[in-house]
Amino acid sequence: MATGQGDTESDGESYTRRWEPRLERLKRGWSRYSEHNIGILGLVILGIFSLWAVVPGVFAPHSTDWVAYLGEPPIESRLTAEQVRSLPHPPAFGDPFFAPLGTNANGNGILSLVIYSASNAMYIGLAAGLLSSLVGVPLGLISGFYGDTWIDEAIQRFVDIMYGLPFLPFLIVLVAIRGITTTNIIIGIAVTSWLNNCITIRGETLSLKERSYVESAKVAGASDTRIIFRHIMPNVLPISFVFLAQDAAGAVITQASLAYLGLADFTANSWGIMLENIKSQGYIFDAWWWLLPPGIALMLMAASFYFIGFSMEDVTNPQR
Amino acid sequence: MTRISGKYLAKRIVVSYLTLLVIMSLLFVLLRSMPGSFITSMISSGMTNEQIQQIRETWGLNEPLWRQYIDFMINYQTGNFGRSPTYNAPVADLMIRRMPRTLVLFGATFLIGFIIGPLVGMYLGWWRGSKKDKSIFSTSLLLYSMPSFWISWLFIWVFNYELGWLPSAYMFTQFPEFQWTAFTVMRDVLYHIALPIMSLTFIGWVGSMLIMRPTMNQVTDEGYVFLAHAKGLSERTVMIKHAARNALIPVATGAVVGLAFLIDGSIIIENVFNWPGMGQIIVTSVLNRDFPVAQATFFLLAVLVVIMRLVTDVVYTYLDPRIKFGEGE
Amino acid sequence: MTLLEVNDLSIRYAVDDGSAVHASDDVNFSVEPGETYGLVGESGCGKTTLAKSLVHLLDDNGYIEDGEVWFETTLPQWADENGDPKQSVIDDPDKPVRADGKTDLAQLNSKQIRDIRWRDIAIIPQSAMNALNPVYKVGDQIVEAILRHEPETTAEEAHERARDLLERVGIEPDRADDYAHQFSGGMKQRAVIAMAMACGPDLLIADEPTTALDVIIQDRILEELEALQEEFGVSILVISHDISVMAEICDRMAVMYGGKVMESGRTEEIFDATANPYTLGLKNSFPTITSKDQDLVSIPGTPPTLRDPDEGCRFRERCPFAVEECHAAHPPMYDVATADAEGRAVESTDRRAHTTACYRIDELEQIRTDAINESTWTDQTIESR
Ligand SMILES: Nc1ncnc2c1ncn2[C@@H]1O[C@H](COP(=O)(O)OP(=O)(O)OP(=O)(O)O)[C@@H](O)[C@H]1O
Ligand SMILES: [Mg+2]
Repeated sequence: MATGQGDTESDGESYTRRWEPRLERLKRGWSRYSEHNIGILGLVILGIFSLWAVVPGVFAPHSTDWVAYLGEPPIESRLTAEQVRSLPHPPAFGDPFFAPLGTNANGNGILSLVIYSASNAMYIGLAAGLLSSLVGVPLGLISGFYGDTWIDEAIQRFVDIMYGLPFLPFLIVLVAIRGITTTNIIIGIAVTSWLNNCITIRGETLSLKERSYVESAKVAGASDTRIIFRHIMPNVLPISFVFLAQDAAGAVITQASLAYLGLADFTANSWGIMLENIKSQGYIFDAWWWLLPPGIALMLMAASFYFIGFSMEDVTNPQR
Repeated sequence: MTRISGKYLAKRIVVSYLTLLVIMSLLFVLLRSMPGSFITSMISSGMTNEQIQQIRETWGLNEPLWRQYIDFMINYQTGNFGRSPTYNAPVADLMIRRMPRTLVLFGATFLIGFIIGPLVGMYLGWWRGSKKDKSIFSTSLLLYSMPSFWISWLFIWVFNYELGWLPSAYMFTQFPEFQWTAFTVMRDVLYHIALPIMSLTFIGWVGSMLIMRPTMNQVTDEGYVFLAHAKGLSERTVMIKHAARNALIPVATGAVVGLAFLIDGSIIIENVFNWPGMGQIIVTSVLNRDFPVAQATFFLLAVLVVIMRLVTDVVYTYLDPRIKFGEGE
Repeated sequence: MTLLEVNDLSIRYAVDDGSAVHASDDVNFSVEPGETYGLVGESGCGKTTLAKSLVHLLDDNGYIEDGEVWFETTLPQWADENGDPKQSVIDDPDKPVRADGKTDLAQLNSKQIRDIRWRDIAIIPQSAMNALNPVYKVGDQIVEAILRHEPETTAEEAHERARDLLERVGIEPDRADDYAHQFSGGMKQRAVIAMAMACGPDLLIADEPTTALDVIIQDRILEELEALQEEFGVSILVISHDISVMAEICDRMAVMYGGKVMESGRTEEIFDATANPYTLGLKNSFPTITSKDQDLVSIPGTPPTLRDPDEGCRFRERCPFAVEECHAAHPPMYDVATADAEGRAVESTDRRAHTTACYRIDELEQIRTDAINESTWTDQTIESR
């Protein structure tokens, strides 16, 4: 009994000892991060968007199938010719219906569409960011670790070649080959956006490799994989998060650009599609309530990723 | 300058050429894996099998794939880009007409972007952490987050639709009685290119700023910046001549990444503004499966990137005397 | 007549948590024309800070809290045809110029101080190796300094002078067209020295001029400095943690600890009649100064952080001779000669005299004897633990 108790005690102790420095580091990192107003702002914006993505029904006044004058489905009647002529309808607050940001040409509420589209942008941003980190970081690590060998050379030549292909048309081809679905768009974006991560992580690894603790691990006979994953990876991970955030922002914008060119999964709700619709239906200059909200939402979502990324960069910067 | 040896340059050119060959092969595979074929558009439902075979024959589609590949590679070496089925014209003619238009748009935005970006980056990096830095930096990130087609619409809305100052589409005024003199053409093009350039540079400069700002901030701590202050030079001289001059070196490398961003941007912009360049044609040709045109546009854009890479290397050696290419190689 | 007169200079660094680093506290010293003055002390005691503050080159978070820096010069726009300050300027209460022609550098604004830098006070920074700009030719960097302060010089003249200066410090004049990366470490150091002499300054600040160099180059650099001093009559303020270097080249020196001057006076006085426990400890830890039969003993403990320091002698925590009195306040400067002759502690304001900041100056003989004893220092650590 007594020994058992002693064991748990020392376990607890070693547990705290193991975690204390990490917690301490986290705390210090957070205090550095929170010095940046834009970092906090980014988190707040992203928090709101996450809520929209998870429980859109709480925030949106209607469902996405709601139609002006007629209300929520099931919809029995049809719009009168006069009602159709009034669409897209500017913001209305109860008379003749409630749509705080007006409606589009089909009579759907803009505010509800904007809120329900948040999940799509969020998903594409995070998934594409994560994916391109998953490709770029390991390749960069390997390339840097085997710097100046044929492995490095091969990876770098490959990166060179990829840079030679204009991203957007290349993306269009990829999406066209595999079919226009959200998943394929994510994969396509990731395929073109890992290059920057790879190059930066490679440079970082090259300089980390020269550090004494990596040298000593090598002397102690650690395997290459062990050195890469135990000694170098933890040090480049913070920067990869920065890139993840930046790639996510880029993905959100790229997806919108693809939608503009007509390449979007039109079964999903997305800000890009809302903007494509306003163009194809010819209301760009006649319906500001339809033109501005999706664009602003896109901008804020991408900006929040950038804000978070660049604030994090300062935390990871060892200079200060 | 003499720091680049001829041997190094030759080597780089060979490597660039090989890179292009690989890109072309990649293109060949990619485009041919797209569903549909470019003759689909030429085949109407009433055609007989023979007629279809006839068309396939004319366009060389009955050859085995490896044969097509070899033909493609050889033709491109000799500058033979083939014929476009949708435009029913030699691709080379199409390219020669469209390339300069894209280069004008692109060159102007590249130049403006790479002047404004490093300049702003210089100031922000020098005063990093100041109120001004914080507000300008966050604003520029907001700009960077705008989809380029959306900001173009806003510009068109304000400057064309509301104010009527600038045209929102095409490269020339579209009426026949137009006086075609060198001067009027130039003025007309400038008039038409204003909004596209504004839209593209409005967000395009941010990329190079994002590279310049942190490097500028880093060199601020360098010993030579301290010494420049100690010599009694004015703050401006220290900032520009000593700090920024050094911070510019990494920006030159970043130019290639910025180039990719700008190519994307100008493709969108050309589509928004109906600018009759390569960015417009590359999208439509891919969507219409006009492979000869798509191939050629991809190829020429790749050539542009590869050339810019070479130029960057040269600029880099100009900027940094420590680098001596080709000696130890 | 003195060249530089520093009165009660206090410098602070503002740090994140709202406290201030007292990198220099009420420092007094003065430098005569043609003299070599040394600032010596352990790493982190504020030597570099003190030197940089004279010409406002502190880091952004550093500032002069209080004090005066009187220097024998005036701004070009305040000078008459002889180079002396105009009477109207001296009489103007808004201008920091004294009747004896000195200007208080601490009160100049950032534009004014730039005219003083290099022309009157040149500084060879602690990391002189990295002080050359990698993208400009070394010669051009010297020319830049000349043209900045003597705009009437032609470019050819300036280039000629740059080559002469390089030759003067033992670098082939043709190397003026080389870039810094083509120079060796010692050559870079000498190139910076040449650059420092470009405008014929009255005061040359050399911050750790020899630290990063090997012994042979060290000696050559020191000789170089002495030769320059002979030739140009420039005063040198030399900074080092190496008390043996100081012994070699300084006429006078101040021993600093924790932002305070602990002992100051002529070099021989400080070495032969050392009157401060810290100086005694410092001497113990350098091989060339300790006599052969004595062991090397370094002062146990580490220098204080200087963040909002409390009252009391700065050195008391590491001092084996500390008594109750030392906790109350930092000691004033006492005259050593009086103490030695009469065994009395008399405060002194004469900055040229040999003075020391220690309350136990009346027991000097005893302290000197004990300090040579290794156990005096080592036992004390055990106690304080
Ligand atoms: N920018 C700064 N912010 C905060 N504290 C600083 C700053 N610069 C220096 N300090 C602190 O001021 C004190 C004096 O520093 P200084 O560089 O003057 O020391 P030093 O005597 O020159 O040391 P060394 O021999 O190592 O060069 C040190 O405690 C240092 O930590
Ligand atoms: Mg120092």
